[in-house]
Amino acid sequence: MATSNVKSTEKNNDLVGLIVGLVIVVALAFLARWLKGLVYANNNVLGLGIPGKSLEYPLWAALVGLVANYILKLFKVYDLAKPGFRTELFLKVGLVLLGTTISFKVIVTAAAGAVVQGVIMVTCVYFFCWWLAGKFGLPDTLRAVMSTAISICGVSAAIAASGSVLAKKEEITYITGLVIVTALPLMVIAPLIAQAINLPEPIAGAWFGGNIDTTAAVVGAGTIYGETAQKIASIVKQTQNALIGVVAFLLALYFSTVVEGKKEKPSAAIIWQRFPKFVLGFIVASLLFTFGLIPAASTKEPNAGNAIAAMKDWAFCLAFVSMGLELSVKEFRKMGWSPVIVFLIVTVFNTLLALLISWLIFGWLFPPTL
Amino acid sequence: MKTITEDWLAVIVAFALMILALVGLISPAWMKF
Repeated sequence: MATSNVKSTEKNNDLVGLIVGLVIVVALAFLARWLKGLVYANNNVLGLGIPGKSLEYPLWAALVGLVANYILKLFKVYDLAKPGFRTELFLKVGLVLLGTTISFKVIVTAAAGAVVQGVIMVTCVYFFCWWLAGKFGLPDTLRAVMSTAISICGVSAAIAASGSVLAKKEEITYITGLVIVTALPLMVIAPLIAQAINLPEPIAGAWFGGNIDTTAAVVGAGTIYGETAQKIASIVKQTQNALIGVVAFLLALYFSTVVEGKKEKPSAAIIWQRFPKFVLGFIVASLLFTFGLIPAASTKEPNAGNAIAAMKDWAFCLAFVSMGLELSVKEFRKMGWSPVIVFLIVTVFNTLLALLISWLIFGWLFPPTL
Repeated sequence: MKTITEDWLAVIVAFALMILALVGLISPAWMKF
């Protein structure tokens, strides 16, 4: 009886926290949109020569999220509201809605290049990270979680890998913290570098998709750089995300047979279990758009297509706000600096290799049909 | 009881929003970003 009372109180607290958190995220998204509108027409923001148009909403959303993160922790209400900070959920809703703005032909042509890029990037980055982490003496479980997180897609890949190798909870929290801390600056820096080297939007999108660890930051960087970059970045990242299942299966196989010496092998069903199902929603949405069941957004007379495109922006904005809210650096002190050094070296390697590969594949071998 | 995963929840929410927009229950003017 006492246990069931405790459980019911916990459930009520979670529900209250979810509602409070959601209200905070939505309010901050409105604030981010207002800030974007405030500076958009200004060609010299704060007298620093920064054009307002370059300060797109992902920047404002992440920034207000970070400030709110600090304030909520200061007033000790962060833990109460945390259940409402749902970066991944908002992002996935936004990605499915994004499908309604992309022709299936674009997905097919971009995905062909993305599969080649994904396989090369995941293999090279995974093994480089595994080797380097070994040189730094990191434990095998941490090496596996880190290698998967950097080579595939950050947080969800880290969680998938940790299930396969039975990593410790603090190793997962540590890696997911590192992933978010490095992805946020990359979301801002990568479009600036792309602009400085005059990278065409499809190549820049492919680069963001292959290089930045979290899907939210990939979409953010693409949005900052341009509409085409956002679409290609999302397709490339989702193709890469689809490889999670294969890597999780291979890891489970390696750890159970080689590391633990067990005779029974893990089931290949893990490939489907770990497959990101929202990608199917994205493909179906694109098919509906391609067959004319969902209208394209119109500049003359706003229609359902405009409403869906705007909802996609709202969903992404909520995801970027949550990303700022979820940032935490307290786990780093517990594990020392060796994993941070490995992570940063591999991130630089990943960035440079992705630039080369995306330029070769999307600029030369498989230029997407837009 | 089987709980729904975040991936499927995202798909359901996104398609519900699409349907509401297609039948005119969500106006483009309200959603303007």
